[in-house]
Amino acid sequence: MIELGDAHIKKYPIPTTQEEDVQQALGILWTQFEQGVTRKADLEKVLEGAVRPGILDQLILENFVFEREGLLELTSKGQNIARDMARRHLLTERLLKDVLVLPKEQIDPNACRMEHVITPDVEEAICILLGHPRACPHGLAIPQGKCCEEALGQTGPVVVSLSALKSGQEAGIAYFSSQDRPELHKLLSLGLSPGNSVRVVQTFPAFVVSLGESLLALEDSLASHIFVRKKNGK
Amino acid sequence: MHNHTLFQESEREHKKIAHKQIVLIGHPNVGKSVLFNVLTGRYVTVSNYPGTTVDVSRGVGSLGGEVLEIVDSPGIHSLVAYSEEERVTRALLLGRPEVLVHVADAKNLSRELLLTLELAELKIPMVLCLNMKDEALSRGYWVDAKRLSQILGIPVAQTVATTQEGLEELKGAILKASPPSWKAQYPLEIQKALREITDEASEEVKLLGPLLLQNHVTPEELAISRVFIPPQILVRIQGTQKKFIRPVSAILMQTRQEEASHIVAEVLSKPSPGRSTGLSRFLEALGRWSLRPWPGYFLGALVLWALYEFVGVLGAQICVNFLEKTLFGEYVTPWVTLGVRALVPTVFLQDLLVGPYGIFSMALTYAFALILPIVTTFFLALGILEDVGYLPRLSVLLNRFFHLMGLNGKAVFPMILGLGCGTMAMLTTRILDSKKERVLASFLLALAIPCSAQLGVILGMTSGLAPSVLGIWLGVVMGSLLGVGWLASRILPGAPSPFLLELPPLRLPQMSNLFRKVWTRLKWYLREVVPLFIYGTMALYLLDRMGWLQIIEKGFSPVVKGFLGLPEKSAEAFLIGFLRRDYGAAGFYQMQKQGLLTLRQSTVAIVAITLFMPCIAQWFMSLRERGWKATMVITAAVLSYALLISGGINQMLLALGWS
Repeated sequence: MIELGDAHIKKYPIPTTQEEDVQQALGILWTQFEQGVTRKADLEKVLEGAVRPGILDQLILENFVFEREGLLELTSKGQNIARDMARRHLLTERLLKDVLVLPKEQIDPNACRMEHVITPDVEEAICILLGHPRACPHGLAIPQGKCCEEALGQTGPVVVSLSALKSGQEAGIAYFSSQDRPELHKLLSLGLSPGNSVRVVQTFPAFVVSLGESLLALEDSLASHIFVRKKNGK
Repeated sequence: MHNHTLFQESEREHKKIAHKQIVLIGHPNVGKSVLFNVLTGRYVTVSNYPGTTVDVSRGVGSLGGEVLEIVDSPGIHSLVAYSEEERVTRALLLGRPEVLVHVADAKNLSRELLLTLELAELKIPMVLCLNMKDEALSRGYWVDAKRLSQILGIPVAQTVATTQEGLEELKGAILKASPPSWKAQYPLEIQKALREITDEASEEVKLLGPLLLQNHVTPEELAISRVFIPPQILVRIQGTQKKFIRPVSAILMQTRQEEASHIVAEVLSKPSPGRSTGLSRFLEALGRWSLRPWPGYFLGALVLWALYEFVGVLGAQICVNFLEKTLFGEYVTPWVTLGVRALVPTVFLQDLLVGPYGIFSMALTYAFALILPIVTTFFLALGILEDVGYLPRLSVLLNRFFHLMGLNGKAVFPMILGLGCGTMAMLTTRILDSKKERVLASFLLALAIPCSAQLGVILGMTSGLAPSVLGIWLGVVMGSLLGVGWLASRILPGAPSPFLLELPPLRLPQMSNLFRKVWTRLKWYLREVVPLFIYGTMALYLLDRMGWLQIIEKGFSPVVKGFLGLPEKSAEAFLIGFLRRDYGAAGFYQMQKQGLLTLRQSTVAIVAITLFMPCIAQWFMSLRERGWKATMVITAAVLSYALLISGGINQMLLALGWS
């Protein structure tokens, strides 16, 4: 966690290259651990390629990681940073893929850079916008943040795809996950555009939503590209 | 059939007397066509489903002592051209008509304003016509038309087109139409881009800037446009579009969306919760039920059963029996025959009129006693379904079913229409979104959808036979639809487009509108059908006279008699079946009544004539809509499939011991 000096005037220090390396290495370790890779020899190779040689020794020296019988584990200090980094990286990946619709090869390099400059506030905002996603585009679990726990405790994710709603639920349209379809323009001109509210009339045999005074029938495959913000209490 | 040339001729004709052109424009189902008829006096089909006015209708009306050309454009959602309709309408607007009337659904103001604002940018003198004011009022909406008119800088009229309420107000508004004063406040980057693109261009090109920026204009559109657009501008546009991550059209749409919501907040109020009557509440509930699996599918089955009772029983059996047996059989035919034999000099001419292949005895009897009652009842039933707004609901219910065939729910429109007339249905395939779906629908229409006249005759043929005959026929048709559709959808390249359809509310049909529509369609049908019947009969007569008919029958004998196991004479039915499918079916009907067909032969005959080639009119329509290549492939596939299946059925029945 980056400590907040003053609650009123937030300062977001830009990390130095040293810090960035540590953060990045810890983030990588998190995702490797998630996949069950814990052997020191394996991890050393991964980190050497992705960050720089000798980074693992530094992590051990600075008490982020410790070694036990050839296997690595995170200290609680290391765990905090690693979890945070992994969360930011994976959330950024989702943002770049779903909302900004960048091509595949752009996603990883950009996410690697952005994860270091995203502040906790931005991280939370992205998480809410994306509807507290559980997994990154590659299928890795995204560590849950505070906002996720709160949201899940109350109502489940706030932003969900329209196709996940049940009959009778109301929601405001947040964004479309795909930008390059000709249908998108038609949806917009039918009034199905960000900011407007829709109510789900039925979900089978086709999805039907009401929007103002009009009724629209659409297929699940289209509805799943429309992300909506659920109205409170429902 | 030759709409294109007709279209140009009528354009020239109107230009002579009318100097001003008024274009009606708007979303589908807002009553443009009804207004068009009221303004021009000429009737065009109006209905509740999208795609009826794909062709542009033009008429002449007078306003304030001046003769005007009035154009009814296809329903569109936006000027950004993705669909056929949007392209046609864009082309109309690029021609800069004198007045633009945006016909809008009064109860959906916020959505309608999106289009109003888009149109306003063209700065063509414009009128906003808020139609269906009654529906808006009954839902409790009230629009401050005066304030709206001030904001947009154009006259705003409120009308109910079906009762002609507010018509004078609209006419007055058209006379006062002015270029809109409203201007969109686009994001700064867009404004800058617009300035760069149209920097040294003429005033007219500047007005088209936003439209050009959103969507690349095709060379054909440039040719139509009265405005010259320098080629370097188009190059610049392509460069600018690439600068934005999001599609430019989406950015502009969002701006208009925001501005529209500000305007709506200012002019729209909902003073009352609406005064719904018992009837409107019932229709609303029925509308909801008809979409749900239960009782939706049950209601759907009920509708199809009613359709069958009305067309298949009342039209094809009761009316046909009366007309053919009683009216023609006992009165008309004997008298005409007597008259012709007495008055016409040579036997050749007598036989041409009342012989076995006579124009009267064959062509006109089939056309009026057999086919007319069937198509009349079908068009009536279809008209009611359209005006009620049921078909879009049926497409929601059947969407998943059509998915199996690589189509989506929208295919209900051409398929149901195809049960009436395949030629009309072929025209309606245009409403399908992708080329793949249009080809698939054309193929299935040609193969397995019998038209109402043919269906009527087939039902008539099966009515006296064992129920298993109807069962076999139904099984083959449904199996072909699903099986061949499934296979073809996997062979044809391309992905199916997702289903997206606006559902109009259920309404009571308006009798006057309904009857005028049925009459228009009947006229169209008679103009197409009667001449074809007559030419076909004359051709048959001549072939028979010259002895070629027997040669043809002998020539096809190995296939017809050997493979299909039908009498040689059946070649005639197939031959004229190409002229009109129902005519071919009627040929078998006649043979059956004369006792020339066994049970097995009747079964093979109805299967073969259903799967066999579409009629020549539909074939030409396919040529026009789909082009040579696709039509030839479809024809070859249909012919070989029809032969294979009918022959197979014949062998199967023989094996089962049917005589």
